Amino acid sequence: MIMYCLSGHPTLPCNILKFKSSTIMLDCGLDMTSVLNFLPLPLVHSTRLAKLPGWVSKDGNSQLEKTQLIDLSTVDVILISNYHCMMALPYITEHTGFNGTVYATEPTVQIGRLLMEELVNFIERVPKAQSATKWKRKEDQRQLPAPLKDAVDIYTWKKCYTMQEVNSALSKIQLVGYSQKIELFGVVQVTPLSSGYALGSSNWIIQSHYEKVSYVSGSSLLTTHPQPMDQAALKNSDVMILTGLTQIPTANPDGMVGEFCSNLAMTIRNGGNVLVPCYPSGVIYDLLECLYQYIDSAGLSNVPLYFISPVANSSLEFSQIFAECIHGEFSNEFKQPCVVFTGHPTLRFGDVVHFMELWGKSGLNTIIFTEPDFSYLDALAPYQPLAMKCVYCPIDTRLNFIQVTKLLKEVQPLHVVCPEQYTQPPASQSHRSDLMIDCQPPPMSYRRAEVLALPFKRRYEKIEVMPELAESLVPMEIKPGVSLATVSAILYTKDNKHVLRPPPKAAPPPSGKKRKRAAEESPENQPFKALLSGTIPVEQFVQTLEKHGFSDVKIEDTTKGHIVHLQEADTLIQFEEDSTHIICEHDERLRVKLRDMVLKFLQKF
Amino acid sequence: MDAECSQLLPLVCGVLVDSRQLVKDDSIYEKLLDWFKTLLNAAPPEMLLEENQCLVGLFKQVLNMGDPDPNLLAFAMRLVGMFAAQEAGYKYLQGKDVVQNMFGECNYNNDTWKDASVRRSWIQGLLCMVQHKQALVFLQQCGLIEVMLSLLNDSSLFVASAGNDLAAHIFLMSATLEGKAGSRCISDLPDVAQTIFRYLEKILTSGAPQSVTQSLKALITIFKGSVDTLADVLWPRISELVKSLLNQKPVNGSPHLEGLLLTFARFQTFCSADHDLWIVVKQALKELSPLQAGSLAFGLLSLKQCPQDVRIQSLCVLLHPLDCILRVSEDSFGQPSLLDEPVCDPITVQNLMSTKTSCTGLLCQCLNHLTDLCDKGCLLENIPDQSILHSVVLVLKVCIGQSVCTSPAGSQFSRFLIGCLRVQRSALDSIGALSVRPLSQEDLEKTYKVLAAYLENPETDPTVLKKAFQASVKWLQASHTSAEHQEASHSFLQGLCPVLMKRLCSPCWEVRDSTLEFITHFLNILKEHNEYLQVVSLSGLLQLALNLLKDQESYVRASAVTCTGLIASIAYTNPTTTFSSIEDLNKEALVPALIDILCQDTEGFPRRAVVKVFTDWLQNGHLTEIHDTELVSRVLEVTLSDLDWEVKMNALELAHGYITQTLEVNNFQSCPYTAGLPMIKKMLPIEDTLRKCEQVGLFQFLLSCLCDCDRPVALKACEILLSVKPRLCEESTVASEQHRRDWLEGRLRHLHISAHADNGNTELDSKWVTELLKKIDLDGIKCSLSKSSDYLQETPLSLLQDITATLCGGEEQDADCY
Repeated sequence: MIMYCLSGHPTLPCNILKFKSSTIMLDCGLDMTSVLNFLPLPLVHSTRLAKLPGWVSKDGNSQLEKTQLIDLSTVDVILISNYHCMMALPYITEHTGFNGTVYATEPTVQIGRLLMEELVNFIERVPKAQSATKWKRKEDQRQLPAPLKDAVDIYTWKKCYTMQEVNSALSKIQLVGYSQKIELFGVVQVTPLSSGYALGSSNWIIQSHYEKVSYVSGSSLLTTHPQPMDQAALKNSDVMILTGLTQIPTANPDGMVGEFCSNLAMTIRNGGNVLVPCYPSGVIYDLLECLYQYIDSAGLSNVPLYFISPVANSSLEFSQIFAECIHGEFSNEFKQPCVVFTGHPTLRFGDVVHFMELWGKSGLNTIIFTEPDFSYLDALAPYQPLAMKCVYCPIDTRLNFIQVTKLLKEVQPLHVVCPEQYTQPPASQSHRSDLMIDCQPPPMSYRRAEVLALPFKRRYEKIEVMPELAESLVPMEIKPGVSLATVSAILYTKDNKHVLRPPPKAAPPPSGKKRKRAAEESPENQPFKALLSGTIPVEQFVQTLEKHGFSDVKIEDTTKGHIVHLQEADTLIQFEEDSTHIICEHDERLRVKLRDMVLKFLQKF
Repeated sequence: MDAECSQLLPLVCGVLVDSRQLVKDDSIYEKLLDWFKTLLNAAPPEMLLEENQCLVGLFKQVLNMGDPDPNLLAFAMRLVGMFAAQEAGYKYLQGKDVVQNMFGECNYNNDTWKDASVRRSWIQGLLCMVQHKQALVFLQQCGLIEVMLSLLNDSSLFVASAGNDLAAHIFLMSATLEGKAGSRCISDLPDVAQTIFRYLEKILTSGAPQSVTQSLKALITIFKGSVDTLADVLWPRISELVKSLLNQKPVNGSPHLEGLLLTFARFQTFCSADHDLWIVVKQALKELSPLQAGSLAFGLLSLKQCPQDVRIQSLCVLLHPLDCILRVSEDSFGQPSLLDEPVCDPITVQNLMSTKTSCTGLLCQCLNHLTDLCDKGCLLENIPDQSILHSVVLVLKVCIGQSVCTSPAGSQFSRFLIGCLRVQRSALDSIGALSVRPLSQEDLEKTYKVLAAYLENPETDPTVLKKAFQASVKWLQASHTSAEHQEASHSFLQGLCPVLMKRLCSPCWEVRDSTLEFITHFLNILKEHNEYLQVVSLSGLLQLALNLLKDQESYVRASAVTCTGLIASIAYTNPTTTFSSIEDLNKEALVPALIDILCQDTEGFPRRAVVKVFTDWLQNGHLTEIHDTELVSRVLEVTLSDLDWEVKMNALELAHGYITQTLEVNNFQSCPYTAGLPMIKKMLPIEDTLRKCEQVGLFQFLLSCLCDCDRPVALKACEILLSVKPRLCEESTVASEQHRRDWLEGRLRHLHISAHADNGNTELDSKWVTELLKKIDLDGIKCSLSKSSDYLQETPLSLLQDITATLCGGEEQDADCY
């Protein structure tokens, strides 16, 4: 089993599993951190942003390098675990020749569509006059200021997809329900399990008759809006691919929600506005739910909450949360102080750009970052100097390391495969040995662009025996409880299913008198040679030799067994675990005699 | 015993032994025993028995029953024990064969004896009885000592434990009553004592953990009751036994071994440093498991008389777990270890520290002992304060993942401790307690830093946060007196203000509550220091605290009221502080808000707090202006109809303060220079007082409270009235009428109606109060109020009546049910 690791981002995974003769892509997350290298796209003209000095390129020439790990058109299926992990789907389904099927749960597709729609809308409503790509050339890139000049794989940076591409990509998805078993080409069966992280989020079980691989991506044990995580079904896995753990292992979501509420209330009480950059789904539901309770108890119930997104209505409708207390439309009745939830968390596009320009100058206002995907300092960089207060309350409900340790203890996979980031403490807290996966045997780690042979061998294959063949078998008990029978049959293999059928009856000898040479005879017509089993007790064998008159027997121990040396006859008998050799070059009669003595110690069947 | 009880008692005895009546409520036996106990304190037992022949009858009937109810038999055994505790009673009962039959000839194999409560009562009866030599002789003659000793290993823990007490008691009685003066060795002891001691010795060396524990427990009880001379006689043997126990691995019976040694260590006769006891103690410190050695060390350090070297060794044992953590940390700042060398077996400690439960258990024990020792002032003078403080700080840092421990052992500790609330709480308690030790600037900064980390950390659990606040208050208190430390405290506080503001907005009410409490505490400590107050008031923290008067949670509102009251008090005391600039603190704005809470809040806590605030203001002289009388009047009026009795108690405090202050003013006017003035002039100030009190409706309030159905309220009102009565009613002659509360209630109602009839003209002649006071029997009322509220229902007579009613009437009531 081979795994191709296409993403180095532990929470936005993209791995391809070659299992038996199928090629399965596990998730296709889109790492958008590169967006932080660009200037914000303001909806309303911003003189400040427009006035920033441009960068003038010097001409140069360079060759495009391209590394291709695997041909994506060979991918048979894509399994999606949650809506954050499908954002790159249009790039794969529309541009690589992919013609397989994508599997995802319905909520995942619905919310994934909202996220993509919002993204496309944010980008497309601020059309750029021109687009440049020449700066991507190695030599030009080297001239750019840091961190841009150090950015790797800059050619993989793509333009945002269009709504058409989104629709086309989504049409390739086949909806599945939790615990539904899906047969792939008769080779493997895949099953989504609730992972408890987001609406519709799932872990996947990929299994054949004798192998079971579980793919855990973005799971949560917190009881919030999604269905609880199904852990029991993960038991007895040969390999567990573990991705999508919390990005902020040191912060527990409850504490952070408390921090969020405290800072929000403090700002409002002082007459300031609160801006929360967020995705249109996910943590925002939990936040709205908490705020709904808290704001009332804190005597702030007259403070309006605004949720601004091109897909806000659909999102609220879909999640069925307190829509009555949310103002989706940003109308004339806009009242301050207020709380605004809006995207995009990078602060590079979407309505948030406008609010940053609007509220950034006042120290009374606060921006509270709750999405852990991007560095908040980098996100804020183009808005500096900034007077507004900034609070970082990353809320990530995915599994932390304590929970993972417990999970692994419970489900006990034979092997764990995970991104290399999980096998050592985070760089900023190198002393926190508790912030890594701790299991036995140690996890196998992967990094981007690595090809991994998964640490287990396929030992068995299920083969069906036809009834008439089975009837003809005569098992012989060779030791208590173990019976053996030799079988002679023809193996038919079709659609990855194997069947043993009785050999065709020996055809009557051809009428022609022409004799065939023995070598040409078809194998099924050959008579069986008896199979031998058992071990030869060397001492008894030597006694037998002596009985037969061999007096100069010498025994030598070797690493694999023994060598019996008949010095006079210049003959060696090598006993090994699974073979016995009689080396006797000149005396065939002696050899046969010795052979018969050896055979007396063995069972035949 | 009064006549009525005497008459009822035979009936009661009759129903108790009536086998048709089943006593369902066994508490009546306990109640009866209590009653007999008080009777026996007042009258000789033989007389009671003689006068109430039914008792002996009861005993005999019980003994004659083939299969008595175990509870009844147990009751009889204990009662016989009580009557036989004095020699005369013993002789009387023995004359009737009761003692002999009850204790001596029990058929120990029958079913009744199998009931643990019977065995236990047999022991308890004997425990009660063996107070004189006759009883001791009886025990010996009947061979009861052996029976008693066999009960030490009883399957019921209660019986075994009672057996221990009895064995110890008999040992001591025998040694006291039969012992020779100047005994030098065990063979000089009386036979009974020797038998008991030998038996204890035997089971102590038996190796069976259960027996060893029982023996140690009995020995501890013996030595707790022993005098120095007896302890001296027994020690050489005991020391051998203890040493042999210590030489086993693992040490058998260790939890009680430390108790035994500590019992010995308390004897004056062993206190010299060269006594053999200390050698054994030191061996025990080494050999016992770290947990046990820790408690032994703690016990030794708490002793006043303990040799210096033992104290030092104890301290080392106690601090060992902290030392382990310090040693593996890379954060030790030049303090590689606490101890020069480990005192316990390092491998045992390491083993204990290698699993989470035992590691945190050991560490918590160490920290809790450290806290207790600091609180008791039992720590040595010359200990490495800095290192101890540093190691506790280190533990706190490890707990929140701030400390670097990269070694394998260190990272293991990190894994155990990160997020462990139990250790966090214990360590914060310890750090708070360590504030009483001499401190350096560096210590202070280090401590403030780690405390700030806990206070800031959004992950901090509310219970841990509360401890962090408590510790911070202690350090602020310890440091604010010295000028050199003020700067550190100042900047700590400055950094804390935004954190506190955030905490005040927390969605968790416990956090808001403990933050308000903290603010109140530190303002109380620092209220004299203008520079601190300025920091606080400029931050906007106080306005946020005032906001919480409208919090959803009643506890938080109560804390906000207290805090606001204090802030206002500081502002009124010192009008130059920046506090005074807060508009909400103006009395015109604040008082109505507080009165609103008092009138409208649905929960008791905020209302109680409001009244307390006004009382504090009164005591601090902030209620001296004319319109403040209206406030007091309003508070008394509102609280009088409050359903929460504690609100009334607080209002009574206010009333007391008010009347005391009013009297003091008058006192000042009338003292000593006015002594010789004519009578009329002297009366005037009292009349002033009365008028002033009358203005706020104080007497109406006090007298109504005196009639309150809540006993503590009435009692408090009574005490206040008693304290002022001599001043108000000058003629000390006892009035002819001495009325009680019911009369007063009628009078008050009458006064109320007549006041209303006067169309709201409440200007009564202020003499009504003095007239009324003279007619009430305040002393009598106080006396009856002081008794517990259930004393009426608890008379022996009512008990006897209840028993007969329940048991005799049982059948009828059952019949009624159908």
